[in-house]
This record gives sequence, C-alpha cells and structure tokens, in this order.
Amino acid sequence: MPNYRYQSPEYMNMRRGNCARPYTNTQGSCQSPREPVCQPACETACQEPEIVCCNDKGHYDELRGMPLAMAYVPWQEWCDIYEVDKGFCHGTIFKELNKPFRGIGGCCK
Amino acid sequence: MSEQRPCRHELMEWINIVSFAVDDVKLFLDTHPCNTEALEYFEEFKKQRVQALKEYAKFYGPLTLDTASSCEDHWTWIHEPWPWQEGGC
Amino acid sequence: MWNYEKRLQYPVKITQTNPKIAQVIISQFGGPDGELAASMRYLSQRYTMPYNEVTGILTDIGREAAEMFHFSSF
Repeated sequence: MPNYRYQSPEYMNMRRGNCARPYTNTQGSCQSPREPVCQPACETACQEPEIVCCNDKGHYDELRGMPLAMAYVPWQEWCDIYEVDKGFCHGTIFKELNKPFRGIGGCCK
Repeated sequence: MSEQRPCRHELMEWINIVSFAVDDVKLFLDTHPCNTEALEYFEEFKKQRVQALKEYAKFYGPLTLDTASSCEDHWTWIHEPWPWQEGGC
Repeated sequence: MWNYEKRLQYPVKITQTNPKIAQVIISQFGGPDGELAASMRYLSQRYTMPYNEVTGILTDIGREAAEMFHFSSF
C-alpha cells in the first residue's frame, strides 16, 4: 500500500541513489521468491518461499478509485491460518499478517 | 508400568507453540467475537494447552498457579528453575 | 489482575552477551517511550471504551506488550 512518506519529493530524491522501490521498476514485473527470515529456534518449520509480484506497469495502488480524505482499515477475515508450529515461528498464525521487514520501501532490496 | 516421562524441552516448546496460537486467536476473537471458526480453533488449542500444562506440572513442576499441586509435601513453585535461569526456558 | 506463567513466550538462547544490545533492548522497554509505558496507556484507556470488543483488544494488546519483555539480557 503506498505510503505518503515514500511519495514525497524529498524522499524520492533521497532514494534516487539507492535501489528502486518496487512500483517504480519499469523493467517488467518484479517476481522473486524469497526465504522468510527465521528465528534460530525454528530452522525446519519455515521453509516457505514468498513470491512478491509488482505490476508490470510499475504501479501498485490498492486504494485506486477510493474516495479521498478518508482513512481505511480493511476488515480482517478468518483465512489462511498457519500450522501452529509455523505460526509460532513467524510470529503470527495469520498468513496475511506475516510481513517481515525487508528494508525501507519494501521489496527489491 | 510407569508412564513415559516426556522430554522437558520438547514439552516446553509445545506449550509455547500452543499458547502462542491461543494468544493470537484471542486477539482475533476480541474483534470478531462471533466467528465460529476462530472459536473452534480457540477451543481446540486451549484444550491442548491445558493438557500440556498439566503434563508438564506432573513431571517437572508447575508453570502456573492452577497447575501447582497441594498434594506434594513441599511447595514446588519456588524450586524449579525460573525462566531467566539455566534450564528455565 | 494478572496470572503469572513460569515460562517465556518465546525461547531465548543467548550465546554471547552484549551489553550494548542489552542497553538498546532495555531502552525499548523502559522510559516514557518504552513498551511498558505504552502497555500502561493501553490498559488505562480501557476504562472509557464504549464497546466491549475494544476493551478486550486494549486489554490483550497491553498484556502482550508487557509479555514480550520477559527476558534475560545478560
């Protein structure tokens, strides 16, 4: 989800010297399987590569078309529950909430 | 025939795992109090957690006040290692 | 009211102590911007919540914040 901070001109200038943010990559989709980082206690439990896909056009905006000047909090549904040992390893039993930190700006770093 | 003593480390790890599952589903249920799947999930792992805690208390001493036994001749709560001590976690 | 469990929420195995890292962790826990202070804010906000769901979630988040810092730093 786009964050205003990362859209600001100051931030864009700062980032120009570093790797591209996912939705400014115009060289095609940015699919790369990655291993989630695991705590030492569970080496065997989490061997699940994660595919992250960026739009071919380089734009990724889930809020496109939504009214301006509103704050949205999507409602969570009960779905995609990890096995208990995997959930313990990832720090959440909900697959949708497994969001490991990958560096400023998200993927492609 | 005596009951087989479970591995302390493995049992503790299992207790951590099911307790975490219960903690996480509890947070979900706070905002989704009528979700039947979440309620079933909670019941299942609460049951497993209670069983695991009882088993641990039986062989290695109590982890909670509810599993502390008054049948022992001394108060084991203070004698088993605390979590920050060697063998405690 | 609190129940105490004689275990850590997640196992900790420190192979090499590091006072600098310990200092960082303690700074995250204590002080006015620390997790403990945040936990107290969650817990004290409960009393004026108009919805039970929110009272529940504030209680449980406040409890988790304190839970995560049951640790040994040395």
